[in-house]
This record gives sequence, C-alpha cells and structure tokens, in this order.
Amino acid sequence: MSGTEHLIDLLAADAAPVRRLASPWRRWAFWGALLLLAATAVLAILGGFAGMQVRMHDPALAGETIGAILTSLAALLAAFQLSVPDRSPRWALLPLLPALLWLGIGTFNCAGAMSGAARLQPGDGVHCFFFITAVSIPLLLAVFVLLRRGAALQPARVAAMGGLAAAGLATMILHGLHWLQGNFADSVLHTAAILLVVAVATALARPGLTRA
Amino acid sequence: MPPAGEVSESGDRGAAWSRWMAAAQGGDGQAYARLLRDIVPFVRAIARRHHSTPDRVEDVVQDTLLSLHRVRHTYDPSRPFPHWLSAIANRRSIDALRRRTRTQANEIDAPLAYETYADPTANREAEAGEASAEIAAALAELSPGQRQALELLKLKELSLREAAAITGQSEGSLKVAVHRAIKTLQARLAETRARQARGEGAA
Repeated sequence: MSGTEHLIDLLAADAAPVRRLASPWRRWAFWGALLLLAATAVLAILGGFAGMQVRMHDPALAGETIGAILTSLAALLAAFQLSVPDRSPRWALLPLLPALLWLGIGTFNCAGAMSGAARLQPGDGVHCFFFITAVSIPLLLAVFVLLRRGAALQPARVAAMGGLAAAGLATMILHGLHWLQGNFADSVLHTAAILLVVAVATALARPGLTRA
Repeated sequence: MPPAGEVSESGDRGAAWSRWMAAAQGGDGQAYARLLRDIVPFVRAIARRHHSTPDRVEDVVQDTLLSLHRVRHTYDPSRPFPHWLSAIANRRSIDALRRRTRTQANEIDAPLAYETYADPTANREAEAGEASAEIAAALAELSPGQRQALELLKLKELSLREAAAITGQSEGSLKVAVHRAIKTLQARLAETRARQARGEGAA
C-alpha cells in the first residue's frame, strides 16, 4: 500500500462530523453588528455621545468618522472572506477606498485646523496614539477569536484586515471623546497608531489564526 | 483564486465531489474515502506544475489531503468543490517550493573532508558525528507539525492521548503526521547517502 493510500485510510477513519462554517457574509453581518454595538456601548460608557453629536454636525468631521466606520466594516468583511480558502484574494482591496476617504479627509481636516508653527506641535496627538493602540487591543483579540474558525490560505493578509477593522472602531470611539480637530502632527500620529495596530496584527497572524 | 482554466473538472465529477464532501462533513467515512481517492489525480496534476520528482509531487498530494482534512469544515457545498480544492493544493504546492528553495539556499555543496585515523574506533566516532548531523539536517526539513508529532510521540514517548491534548490535534492526525515525518526522514537520509556515495565514487 502506498503512503498516500495509507494516509487516505487514516483520514477516512478520522472523519468525525464537523460543524460547517457559516458563510462569510452571514458571519460579517452578525459579528460586525455586534462589534459596532459594543464600540457604541463603550462610547456611551465613556460619555462620548455628546462629542459624537457635535462631530456629526460638521460635514468634514462627520466624513472622517464615517470613513473610519466604513473602513472597519469593509476590513472585517474582507477578513471573513479571506479566511475561507476558495474566496478571491481581491477581497483585500475592499477597504482601500473607504480607508483613503477616512485618512484623506482626516489629513485635510487637520491640515486646515491650525496655521504656522502650531501645525508641527503634536498637541493631543500623542494621547490619541496611545488611545487608539490601547483600545484596539481588546477589539483585535475579539476579531481574532471570530476569525479562528476559518482557515486562511494567507494568514498575514487576514490578520492585517482584522487589525484595520479594530483600528477603525477604536478611532470611532476616539472621535466621540475627542471631537476637536487636531493639527497635521496629530493626523500623522493617528495614522501611525493605525499602522502600528495593523503591523502588530500581521505579526500575530501565525500564532493567532488558523492556516489552511 | 486559481488561474483560469485550472479548475477544469467536468461538472458531473465536481458535483459528485461536492456531494461526497458534504457527506464527509456529516461524518460519512466511506464517502470521504471515495472522495479522497478520486481527487488524488487532480491534486497530482496541480503539484506537477511546480515539482518534477515523483517524491515531491506525492509530498504535496499528502500535504493537501492533510490540509483538506483539517479545514473540511470551511467547505460550502453550494460552491464548486474543485475551486476550493485547487486553492488548497496550489498553496501547499507553493509552500513546498518555498521550503525547497530555502533549504537549497542554506546548503553548501562542498565535499566532506574525511579525516581518518589509524585506530578504527576513532573513525567510528567521526562517522557517528556525521550521522548525527545528517539526522539533524533531515529533522530541520520537516514541517513544524511533523516535527512536533515526531518529538512528542517518538522522542519524548508521550501517549497519543497526551500528545493530542498538547497539540490540540486528533489522535488520527498525529498518527498521520508521524507517518509522514518518518517517510520524509527516510527519503532525505537516502538522498544524502546517495550523494555521498557519488562523491566518494568520483574521488
């Protein structure tokens, strides 16, 4: 008996029933809504509703926050799709447009907020950096737990999407607590925090996710 | 996504595979065995795109079957099975290619310098050292899962149950991994011996 034949016999003998994975769309709809609800609850607990209302009355600021939420949801959907072997790798492009919108509007807003030497001062940006990274940690853990049932052909890609989803929601919470527009240096620090979260998530891909 | 034209199994066969896989997900061992035997030529054809030797092709086939087994819960019976299988087989094939490239990049093709002594027992010590280095190199080429299974079951002599508890894998998967690891070691050591014999013959 060849090695492959022997292996087939072993695998067939080990064929216990399995609980089939729900479709990525269904998982995204359920868990995405739950995560958004959880982030909103955290915002409410921290007293951020009033700040969010102020932000939503300013089209430019509202655009930035909506961009962050859309990026998070798009990244989460991409992560769920990419965690199934037969889905197109092009799903990784889904968050690109909302991310460009989010970061583009944010940078534009910050660039116009202050003039002269004040633009180069970090302001509250350092606190925002730590806030985004700290709040992203539990969100990222939650996203990884949700993604582990899948089986990614390229875990790093899935993890990066998960990191972007977590960072987007963390930024949404930040926007409610810190509705004032920062300066250009603040914008750079926000972006740096988001990139750090994505990088950490990618580094945790191998131990954190299931590989197909 | 596999390249266009790669998923070329006929609709009837693909539909049959999908049915058998759905049955296998429900625990039907006979349907599962039938499916696995039927897909082997398909997976071999994918492996042959990247690998030329029969041993390497068969390694990719077995790696693919193991991956399929591990992630069979992710297959959606409403979607084409050949597409799902192709994605896994391609990934395993590329992984094997990368492993081989990394190994070859780290190997230096240089003749071994044998130092021989008048006392035969001194030569045996040198040979034992070389054999140990060969085994260590062969072990390093195993996949992490195979190496871990071998270490736990054969070197640390844990029971299947203990090893399954540590790794989170089923006892069946561990048996399979050890089987594959031993085959790989045998092939690697045979290859090394053959290379040495050719080197000695040329000298």
